[in-house]
Amino acid sequence: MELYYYLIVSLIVFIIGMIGFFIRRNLITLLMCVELMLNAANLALMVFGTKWGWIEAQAIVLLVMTVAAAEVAVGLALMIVVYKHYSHLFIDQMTKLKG
Amino acid sequence: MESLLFWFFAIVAVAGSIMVIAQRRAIYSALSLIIVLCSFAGFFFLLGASFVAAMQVIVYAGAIMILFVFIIWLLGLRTGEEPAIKMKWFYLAIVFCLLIGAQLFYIFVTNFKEVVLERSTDIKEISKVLLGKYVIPFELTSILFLAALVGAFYLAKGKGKAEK
Amino acid sequence: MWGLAGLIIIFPLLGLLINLFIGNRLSRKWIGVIACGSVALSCLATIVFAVLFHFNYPAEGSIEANWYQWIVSGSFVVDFGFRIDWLSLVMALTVSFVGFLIHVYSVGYMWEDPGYRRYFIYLNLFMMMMLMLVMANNLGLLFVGWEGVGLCSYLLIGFWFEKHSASEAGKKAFIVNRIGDFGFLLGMLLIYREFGSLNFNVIEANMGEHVASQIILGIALLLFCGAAGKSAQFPLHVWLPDAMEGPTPVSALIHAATMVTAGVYMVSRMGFLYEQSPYALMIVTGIGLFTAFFAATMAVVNKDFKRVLAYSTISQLGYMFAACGAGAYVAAIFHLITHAFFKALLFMGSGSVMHALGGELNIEKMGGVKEKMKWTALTFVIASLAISGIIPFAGFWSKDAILAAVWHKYGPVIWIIGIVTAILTAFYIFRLVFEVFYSERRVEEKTWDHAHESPPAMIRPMMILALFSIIIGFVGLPFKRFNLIERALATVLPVAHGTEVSVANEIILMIIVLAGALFSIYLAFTFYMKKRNYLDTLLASFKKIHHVLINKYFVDEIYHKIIIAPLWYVSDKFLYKIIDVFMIDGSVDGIAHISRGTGKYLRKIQSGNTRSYAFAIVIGMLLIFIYYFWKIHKG
Repeated sequence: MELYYYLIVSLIVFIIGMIGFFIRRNLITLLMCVELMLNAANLALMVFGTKWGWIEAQAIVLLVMTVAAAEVAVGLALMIVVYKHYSHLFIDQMTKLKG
Repeated sequence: MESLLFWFFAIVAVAGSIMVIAQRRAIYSALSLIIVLCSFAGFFFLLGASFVAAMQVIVYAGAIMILFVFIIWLLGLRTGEEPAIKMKWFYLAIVFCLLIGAQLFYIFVTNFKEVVLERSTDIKEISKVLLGKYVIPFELTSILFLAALVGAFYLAKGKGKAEK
Repeated sequence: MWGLAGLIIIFPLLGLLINLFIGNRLSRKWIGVIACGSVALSCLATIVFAVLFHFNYPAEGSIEANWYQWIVSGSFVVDFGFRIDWLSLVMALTVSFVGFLIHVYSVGYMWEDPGYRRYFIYLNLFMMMMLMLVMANNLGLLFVGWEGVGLCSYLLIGFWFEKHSASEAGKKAFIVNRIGDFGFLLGMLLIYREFGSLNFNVIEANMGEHVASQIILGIALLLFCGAAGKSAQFPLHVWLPDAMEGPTPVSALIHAATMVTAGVYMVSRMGFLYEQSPYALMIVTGIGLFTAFFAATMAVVNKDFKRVLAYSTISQLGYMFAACGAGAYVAAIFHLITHAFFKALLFMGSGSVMHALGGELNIEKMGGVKEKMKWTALTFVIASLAISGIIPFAGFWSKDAILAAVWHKYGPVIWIIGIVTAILTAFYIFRLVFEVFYSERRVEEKTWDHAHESPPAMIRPMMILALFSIIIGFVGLPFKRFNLIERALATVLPVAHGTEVSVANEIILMIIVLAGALFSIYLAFTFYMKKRNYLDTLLASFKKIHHVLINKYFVDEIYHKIIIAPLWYVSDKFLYKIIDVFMIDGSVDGIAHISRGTGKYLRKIQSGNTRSYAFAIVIGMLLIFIYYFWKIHKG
């Protein structure tokens, strides 16, 4: 199997994640889109690591996974706080930062 | 055999991703995401990183997605009654995303078309790297984890006690 | 074991910390006990180490005890380490012993003062810094002690800071010292550049290497600049008379016995360097003797009890530098020690009189105090005899050693200046004795009724010091066999060879000094006791000279005219009006206006919508990709 097919798959997933970020308005779905993009990037890293026989890539992928887990934990906790505050999770209605 | 598996995972991953962003209900999106992550584990396996593939299933598809499902269930987000989009530039954003995709595609096709994979890994090598050269980052992630744990706990607990 | 020498410094630090942190819960008595006790312990420790050192005398004459590396920066290393040799031990012994007596005296003197605890905290800090200064094994650590004692001096001069003149005097002392310290610092840097280390041993060992004589001269003069600042030599002497604003025990400890002698100590310590440069030695002697004479003349006319003593201190320090410059470092240190005893005693006596007369300092309003203060008078007379150089009191032997060295090195002409100064010294000090203690009473009746002898806490240290003012001179008898101090210090300090003055010469010089001193005591007796009307005729005939002297040669005024006034003018007209108001304020305000103006427009970008931020990220990514595309296709 040629390497660049994997890359293409990861690219497609990444772009889907990105587009999802624009068309969805639910915070939880947005977080899922972020996860999609993260995984796509992870896959790309893995592919390049395999190509150059770079074993550290696997270690870094593992580290990325742990960091992603921490990120999700904090992100979801934040979501609970947001939900308590607004009683919804629609991102278009959260414009407190408007300058 | 290998290319068959690859095409199977590829179709599942892309279709699942589309399902993630197309579903109106968050719980379906989460379930689709689990499928995508599992197919990613399949890619890792195909690339020879069986350990990472296992971790992907356990950590991502197992632990992290459980969190998602819990939160969705906890907040009771049953329907996706989202208000309509008002922004015109939103189409432009999608166009830009596709443009980036096209550029990356071009790069991949021109640079990596003829490259063939070679894979040879066993778990011993990873552990040597992870607990040798990268032991400090590895330990640091555990501290990060602890911090995330405490932070998440504090945030989700809210101001309850302090106000009493 | 030798690392424990650090205890000498640790004890005052402990006393300081106890008084600082729990002192507010202790009674005055206990604060005093802790402060005095800590210094007594460090004095004991010094004695113990001196004995140990004597019995375990190392072949190279000194021991280094490094605690740790304090500064490490590339090849620049400064240790936190002590050097134990006879010079540092003798100095530490003098400092801690005199310091202990003055601590005890202070308990009596400061008993009523509201700042009692603060006073003892400063005093203990001073002891710690001073001991660090003398024990340090490198210039870096010495400089820490050097600056530390400067700080304590500032704090204690301005101790009664609610008094305007006291806080001004503190600032003056600090700033004048800074000028000197700047020179010292430059000297240190130059030493590092040339010798690669600040450690005394290393510098001395590298001395033999080829270093241009101009550079040695430069180092010597820069270090001497620091010494002159600290030891109040001309032209940096102006701060010391003003420093008398502080409490009198402080004047005794810091501005007479210990801190001001740090300059002499440092020059002696670096004696091996000064020996390499005859010009530097000449300058040191020149400045020293000039200052000695110059300050003595001012002391003759001043009417302020403590200021006379301050000028006397400057003058005696001048003597010490003259000795250093003549290569007689041993004599300088010897005079330093004897001076510490009798000058501390003189200041204590003045404090005792002030205490009795309600803070009166003008000697014209004193007289006949002996009737009420027998012990103060007695000890003061002993100290006066010592400073005048009357046989067999301490000052005689040390002053004689200095004058003999000057005679030998620079010949009779320079020596005469020294002799004249010695005569003036005897005159002004006995002027004080007669004016204050023996002449007819000019004190106001009301004050007189309250006058009383000081409490035992003040008198007993004075008695001990009086005893030492008599006997301390015998450690340095001018005969080789009996000269203990020279035998000890010659192991550390450079000794000029072939300087032995023949016994006959020595005795003749002694007799001249003695005769001069006795003559001027007689003169003082005539003027201030028998025929006071002589004085008025004398004043009338030398009115101009008197005017110059009483105004301290207008040095303060000259400094004001040539340094302070132009500085003030430039600061006000140029730095303030143009640089500060126009340029700095203008540019700061301008920047603020610009940011506010742009912010007003830029804030519209912040829509608060998360997705618009994501959009911005996407645009950014796109631009980066476009840039790389463009780059690849171009190249």
